[in-house]
Order: sequence, then structure tokens, then C-alpha cells
Amino acid sequence: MTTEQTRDVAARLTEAAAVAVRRTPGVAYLRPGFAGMVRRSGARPGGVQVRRRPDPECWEVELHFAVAAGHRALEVTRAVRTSVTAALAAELPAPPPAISVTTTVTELA
Amino acid sequence: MAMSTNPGPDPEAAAEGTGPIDADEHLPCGRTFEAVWSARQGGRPLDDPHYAGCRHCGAALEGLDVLDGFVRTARAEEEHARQAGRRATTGRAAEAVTQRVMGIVRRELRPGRSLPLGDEDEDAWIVEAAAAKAFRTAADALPGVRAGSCRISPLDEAAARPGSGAGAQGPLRVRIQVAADLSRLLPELAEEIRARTKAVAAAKIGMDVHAVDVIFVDILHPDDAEGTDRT
Repeated sequence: MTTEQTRDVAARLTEAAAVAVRRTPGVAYLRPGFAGMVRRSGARPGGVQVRRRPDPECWEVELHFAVAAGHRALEVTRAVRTSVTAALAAELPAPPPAISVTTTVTELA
Repeated sequence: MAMSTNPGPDPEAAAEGTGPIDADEHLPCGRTFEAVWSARQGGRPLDDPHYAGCRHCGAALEGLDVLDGFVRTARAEEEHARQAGRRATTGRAAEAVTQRVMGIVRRELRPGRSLPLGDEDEDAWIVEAAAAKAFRTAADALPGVRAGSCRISPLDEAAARPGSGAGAQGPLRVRIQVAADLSRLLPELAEEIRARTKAVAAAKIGMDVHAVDVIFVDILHPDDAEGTDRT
């Protein structure tokens, strides 16, 4: 994969992951990134970082988000892992490469 | 009963990181802020392969880009104002933004310790400040109790097994400082705080807390305990 291709795929995966996290029940919000905090438009979604490891191919996803009131943090991280893994697999050629998801709860709302 | 007047660093305050950044400060990967920012200057591409994979450096660079954008905008506005003959106040505004972005960069880059959730291989974490807040809230709910600093760490620091990157795995110890009135015997109150802390850890978070240290740092008098502002 060229650097350019990797960047394009990473951007798509980042967007897909952000959508999946926001949709997961129990997620209050993704942690805003720098640009979000100083209110610039057109910013990348904060709280999502996607990185590709080449050999063996593996996509690493790091997520930071707040958990909504009335939800157990651990359960929400599990639901997020499931939905993000599925969302990324849908964007990658079958059979999809390894996808590693790290979730960090930044706040209990 | 410990009567400490120095509760130790508060994770939320440490993460606040207000004030100018010391360029010698190290990112968690070992690089200094200055090294990373110098590498970016002049728009030179970053040859060092470390930057491609390092999220800490990536975050520092992102902060710098945001700052750059604002400084450019502020300078352009200042120039425009000067040409229009108006007194330029945007210089001060730009400095205020600079300080704010620097504060945000610091907070992003030093979010504090992450603690494990669930099983050892789950790769799910919670930042210490978030869990500590939940424990303090639970203690505060008890009448005659005011929670202070709360820290969470591996039960046995020496035996802590290294995790995948965010922090150490294994069971945890909560250390919470409280002020209390003398309406109840302190050992009983400590036991209740301990029980509530473990209950919150299990029910609300999913965190494996094995020990809770309750440290009484002050005695509340009846006038103190009623709805006063917390600092």
C-alpha cells in the first residue's frame, strides 16, 4: 500500500469508527480533539486515532469517549469495540486484516 | 488517623496544565516538545520514522498546527486593522488564544494515568480523573462527609504487570481523603466509604478494586458541613 493509499483508507476508517462510536448506546460523546475545542470547522473527528501496522497487516484504533449516565463503563467499551470492529471490517477488503481496538473512557457523565 | 495537610497532586489539577509549556518537558514517548516542534518548523517533512507511529508526537504536532492557524489569522486581522487605522487589540487576543491552546495541548498530552477495565486482555481503560470523580461523588453523598483527593493505582505497584500501552493491568487500590464530622465513629464511617467505593467500582464502572484506603484529613464542624462551596 502506498502512503497515499494508506492515508485515504485511514481517513475512511476514522470516519467510519467515529460514526460507529457515536451510534453505540451508552456513549455520551467522543472526546473532542484540539480543533474541536477551539471551534475550527472542517476538523477531523476527535477521540479517534487510526494507525496501520504493515507486517503483518493490522489496523490499530484508539478511541476516547465519555460514557452516558446510567450505563456501566465496561459494558459500553465492549459495545463500542463490537460496533467499531464491524464498521471497520465493512470498509476493508474481505477477509479483513487484524483490527485492534483500544477504548479509553474519559468521563462518566 | 492521618492528619495530612498536603493531599498530594490531584490528577485533575495536574492534567489542567495551565501556564506556559516548558520546552524541556518530555512527552510520554521520551521526546521533548521542543524537538518535535523544531522538526515541524519550516514545513519540512518529518524524516524520522518515530513520528509516523507515535501518537504523542502526533498530538503535539496537531496542537502546533492549530496554534499556527490562529496566529496567522490573528496577524492578518491585526494587519487589516492597522491598515484601516483602527487600534489593534487583536495582538492581545492572539496571546490569550495561544495560552489557551497551549493549555489544551498540555492537557491532551498528559491526560494522566489510565486504569484497566474488565479482563486483562480487554484493552479497555478509564482515565483516573473520571473514576476518581465517581468515587468522590459517592463519598460526598454521605452526610457529614466531604471528599478530597482521590487516587487510584495498581494494588501492588511493584508487582504490576505491564499492559498493552495505556497502563498497568491487575487489581487496583483506591486512596481517598475525606473530611468528616464526628456524628459517627470514624472507623465505621471509613468502612461505609470503603463499601460505597467498591460498589461504584463494580456497578458503575466495571473496575477491579481490591483495596480502599480512607484517610481522614480534617474534622468538619456542624457549620462547615452545610452546603458550602467546594474549592
